[in-house]
Amino acid sequence: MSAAPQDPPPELRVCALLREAVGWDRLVVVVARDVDTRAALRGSDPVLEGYCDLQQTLLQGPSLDAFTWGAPVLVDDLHARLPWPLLSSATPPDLPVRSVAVLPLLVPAGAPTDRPGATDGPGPPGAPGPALGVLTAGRDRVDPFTQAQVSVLTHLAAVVSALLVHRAATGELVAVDVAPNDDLAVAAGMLAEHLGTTAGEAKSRMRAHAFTSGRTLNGLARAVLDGEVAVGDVAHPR
Amino acid sequence: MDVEDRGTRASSRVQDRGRPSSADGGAADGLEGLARDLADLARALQSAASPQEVLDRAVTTAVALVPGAEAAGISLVRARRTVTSAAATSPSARRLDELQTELGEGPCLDAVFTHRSTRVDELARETRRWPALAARAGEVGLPSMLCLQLFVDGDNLGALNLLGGEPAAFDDTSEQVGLLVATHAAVAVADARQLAHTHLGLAHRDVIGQAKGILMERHRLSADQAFALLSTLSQDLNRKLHEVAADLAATGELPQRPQPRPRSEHRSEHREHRPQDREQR
Repeated sequence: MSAAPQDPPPELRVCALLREAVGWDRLVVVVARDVDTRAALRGSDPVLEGYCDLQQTLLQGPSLDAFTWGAPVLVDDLHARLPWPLLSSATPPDLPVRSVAVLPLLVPAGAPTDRPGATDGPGPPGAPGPALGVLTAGRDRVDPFTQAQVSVLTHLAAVVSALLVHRAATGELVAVDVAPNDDLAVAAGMLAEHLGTTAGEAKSRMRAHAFTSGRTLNGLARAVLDGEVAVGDVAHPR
Repeated sequence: MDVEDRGTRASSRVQDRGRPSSADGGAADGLEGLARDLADLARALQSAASPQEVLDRAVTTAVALVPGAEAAGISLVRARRTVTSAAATSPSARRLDELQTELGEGPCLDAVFTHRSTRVDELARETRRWPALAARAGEVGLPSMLCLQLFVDGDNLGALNLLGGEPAAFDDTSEQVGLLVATHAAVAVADARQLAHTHLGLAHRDVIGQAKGILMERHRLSADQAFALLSTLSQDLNRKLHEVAADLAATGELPQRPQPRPRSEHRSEHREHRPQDREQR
């Protein structure tokens, strides 16, 4: 599958084919190794990507649960009371997204699960194994995803997973479609050097700073690289 | 990598050698048991966290499920020449791979490339197919073999090798069950490798980013300058960029370039290698 560089990646082009049938306003595909080693595919919706960043910052939310448990997670209304208290309190009141369906991207591309995850919390233990990311579809109105729609999304996630692993093997995926944003890693490296510590410890400091300053982890990283926030201020908050 | 030392499961199964695929007897029950075992295997392989864990689980389960199997190993063959053990439940399986590499012959170097399964009733008697290997069969310690193809990629191969403690330890049932196990293992190994590929790509990007950040903070460089410095060092050292970055991120130190030797050292070394020069002069 060849495409001009400005075209969306093939995964998002496949998703677009089902947009009308399922009905979503926004979609993001995140490839992840762990909670802090992750990247959204180029062309993903920036608002949903920001909501994923917020979950990464707070270490809780539907995306993290879907990734960890390997099961779909549905949220009927992001502005309602949620089982993730920090996320609930930190969700911006003007976030336009209301209903979301988060599907794990599993390897091997799994068959549709018999438990469509119609819960607002983590799935039961024994869920399928390692995930390589999540696919999140969002609607800008309170309109919960139905079981049939989740079933279609589950198939779509399987196709997206297959495409991702195929393109990862050629190196194209990381080189072209998830590479541009390494802000968090760079800022963590700077802070690690400043503090004489590890990148993991640096990310913990950044997470704390981001939480207290009302930013996301990636937002703070960008601010550091743009010179808006000094590395020293993150290292030694006043 | 040995599985034998990591738990008791593999060794306890050795006592079940030669048993039918289900311990509870009758044909229908046996089939049900096998189906259940294979489903368990598929789940276990899919939930493994790394390619190595997939391989380890596959060999352990193969010994447990395949009638007659006492030991198992997964062999990777490169360029039809080098046979390496990717996982093994016993030293016998690993020794078989070493011998095949050393002698340049054996089932993994020919038969398994063209046949999905190859049964060897007694390795010491294979004097026509693999004479050198047959002569040293005693070093393997287990006389019979069942070799199952996992994948073939040009001159590269992956094989699941099962070893039996008695001559002709494997029968048709062993072969059928073995092929089912190998099919599950092949799919799981391929998937695990692909997943590792995806994760590695992200990890490399992350560690290169960290290294850039360290250099930017340490030397007041721009992101582009830091990347250029890493790239130059990678070329000078003939090492991959992510390896150089990982060293820096882990130790805080840039890997050192090889130091150029002084000219006098070059000259004296040159003379030492050509003593006839002095005699001629």
